[in-house]
Amino acid sequence: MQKRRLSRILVALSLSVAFAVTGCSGGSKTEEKPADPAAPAQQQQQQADQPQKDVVINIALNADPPKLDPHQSTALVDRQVFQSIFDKLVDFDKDLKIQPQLAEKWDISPDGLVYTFTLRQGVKFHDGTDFDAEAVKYNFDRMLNKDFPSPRKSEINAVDTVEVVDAHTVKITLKQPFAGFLSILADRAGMIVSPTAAKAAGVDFLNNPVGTGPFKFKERVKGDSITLVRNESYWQAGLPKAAGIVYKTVTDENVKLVNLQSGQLDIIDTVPSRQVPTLKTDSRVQLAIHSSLQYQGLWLNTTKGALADKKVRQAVEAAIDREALVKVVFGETAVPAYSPFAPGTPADDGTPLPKRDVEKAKKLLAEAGKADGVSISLKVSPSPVNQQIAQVIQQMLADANIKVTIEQEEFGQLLDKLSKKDYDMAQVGWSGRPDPDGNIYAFVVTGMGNNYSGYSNPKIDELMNEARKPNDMADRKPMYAEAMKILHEDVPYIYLWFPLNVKGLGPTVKGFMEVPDGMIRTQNLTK
Amino acid sequence: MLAYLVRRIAMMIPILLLVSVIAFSLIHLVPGDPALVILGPEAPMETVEALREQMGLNRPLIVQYASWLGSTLQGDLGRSLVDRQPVAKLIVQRLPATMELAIFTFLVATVIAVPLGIYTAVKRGSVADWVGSVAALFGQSIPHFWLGIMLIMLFSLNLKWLPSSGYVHFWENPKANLLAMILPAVATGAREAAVITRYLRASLLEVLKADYVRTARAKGLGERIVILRHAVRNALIPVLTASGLQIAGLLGGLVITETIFTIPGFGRLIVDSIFQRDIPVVQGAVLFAALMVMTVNLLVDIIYSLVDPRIKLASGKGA
Repeated sequence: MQKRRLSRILVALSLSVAFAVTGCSGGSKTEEKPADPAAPAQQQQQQADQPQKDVVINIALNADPPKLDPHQSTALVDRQVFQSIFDKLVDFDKDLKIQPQLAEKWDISPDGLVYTFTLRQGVKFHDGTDFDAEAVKYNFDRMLNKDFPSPRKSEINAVDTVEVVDAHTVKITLKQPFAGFLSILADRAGMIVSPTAAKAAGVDFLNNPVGTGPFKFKERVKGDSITLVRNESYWQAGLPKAAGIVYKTVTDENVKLVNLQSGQLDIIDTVPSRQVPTLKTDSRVQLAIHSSLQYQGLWLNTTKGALADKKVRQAVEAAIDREALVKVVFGETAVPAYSPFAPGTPADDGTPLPKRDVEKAKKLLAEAGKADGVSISLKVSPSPVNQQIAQVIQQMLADANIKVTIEQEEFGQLLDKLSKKDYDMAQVGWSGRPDPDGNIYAFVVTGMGNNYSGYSNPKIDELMNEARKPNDMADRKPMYAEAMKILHEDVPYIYLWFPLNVKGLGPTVKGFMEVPDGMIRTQNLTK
Repeated sequence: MLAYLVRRIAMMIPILLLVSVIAFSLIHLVPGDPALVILGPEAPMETVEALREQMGLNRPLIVQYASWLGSTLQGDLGRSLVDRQPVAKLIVQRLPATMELAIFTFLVATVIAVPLGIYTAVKRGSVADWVGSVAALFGQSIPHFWLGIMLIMLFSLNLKWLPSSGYVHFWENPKANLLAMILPAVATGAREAAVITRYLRASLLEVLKADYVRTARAKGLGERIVILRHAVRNALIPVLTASGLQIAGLLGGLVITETIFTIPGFGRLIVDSIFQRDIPVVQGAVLFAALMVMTVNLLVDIIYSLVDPRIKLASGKGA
């Protein structure tokens, strides 16, 4: 009898472990469902009318934001919530042009080293303290503090000194010119936290965030929801329009969609691409399809196995038909890619897509001494879409005598293997950054953390470092173009598609802004 | 009885210890560096290394386990590696929704299964028995995520009678809470009902063949009394065993229902934490789940003695 009870417990336990192992993945971080360049005009830039006292906007996110402190944040999904709680020194408009936010204006010295910001006056943090130059200086000190675990450190490591000129002027001096600096300040590194609250809470600030943004943090239930309420003394008159925002974690795309259709949710951050055609005629849903900064593709391990040979990597690339892949898997929610720079972004040089060439692939294999073909593995994180992508690639490569074994790895394991270079080929993309540097530097420069292919080329290292210096994009663009030529030859990564932002809105939601960074700006939202 | 309870509760301690060792070993056997999982692909390597150090992941496993056990014994389950929230708070936050769902699921299951089980057993071989058995088989076979989605499609999207999600705590808004519970309870209850129906039917058929049922009939008792008072009560013992296991499974195993209806439950906490390699949360939650399973089993054993006076809870040798 006792034995049986014990086994009952063990059975129940092993069941709970088993479902965990086989259960649905919590949405891989860089994988977002994509869409269509000619975005229909869904958004209605609303003029300031009376704030609506009772409207709460429910926004679904595909993963639970782990850390609500912009300086400690590691997950991309955190950034959605930050848009509501924090303001940044500067922000992007829908064309990715830098606009004033907490900084009213700024001046950059001709050598690109000194940035002088004039700060907005009369802004208060949610805890009632004043936003001023001292607060900005404290924020940079906090991110750069050696004892504080901030992933922002590496983003702003070009910063040499931060000086308070007067109460509303801050001067930031860089160690070397860094052209992407302002766009870094339009993201987490430019979000200003309340010094008083941050000092009091220490690392636990991440559960008690205090900023200057349109909404104040109220409470969270881990893995389920984050509730924000209106900041009554927001510096932008008449904003925010809604009384509150609730971010709900909904990992399953179909669940998200039915809850949008039933009115339980007002905005969903991704829409299953298969559903896009039918949703276009669904009166319960408005679709917002617009360009994004993301790219997706394949990492190729240049350090070992068959793919260590450049010719084999070139053969893989030649055997893939990007247009067919996008058409089959994504329909109108993605466009084919041949670089890390999304169409319409400054560094996009419009190099035409290469056509699929199976004969060339076979010839390259023969030159590599692999005329009989090669066998490689392709790792993907588990999801129906990833499975489909892997199968399409598998079939395309089979035509060129490249036998692909598909291996599904849970996202955490996949990353682990990538960083240990324990793979042949892996499908992992990038969420994208507005400045081109953020989409290429850390991925191709020798020894960088995101250089999963183990690629190393002194010429690329030099070009990447040089391209960081000039402030004018016209001077940087040719360097990126030259680097791309080399990367197309060396193939450490095969760029395959640019996912588009596809968001679903409830029928009455107004004030949604389509910004390519994919962040939902909440201050104008209402319904 | 008291001695029995004390003995049973004392027995839980070594089992809990064993469970904690198993949970600890499993989460460390799963490949994937917690620091890398937490920081994601966007973090520089030096940050990952610093985090490993800060989380104490560079210490030998046995030291990590001992340190966890030490603080757990002092009542401190530690904090989440991901967001530093206390594990005990996370468990308490998630428990009400899952317990409520488990209770409603069981209610739905009982309301369907008891009459259906009795009816199909009594009318054995009839068309009704056949229909009931097919329905039970169907209920047991359909995946409840599918049933859940179908229920949402019908009752939320088309008929607009019930919400597709929107769980709130009962004490915040009882009406909204109950409305939001109906569909998930039916989605999981259908399956539990099918299992219990089959157990009850089989067990009742067995009992109906017993001598004392014949005796009861022979002394002229009405069929209704024979079945309800004599047969069903005796047939309930194996059903209780099955139901106890079902409930115990529900407490940690409602994750799919919780996901579909976006209910902040205990199952999702465990699964999410495993994916995030949030070791303290996984350990705390698994330990707690084990405790719940053992408690339910104990309760079932106590209920045995209430249902069937022949079963005495022995305080001496194993019953």
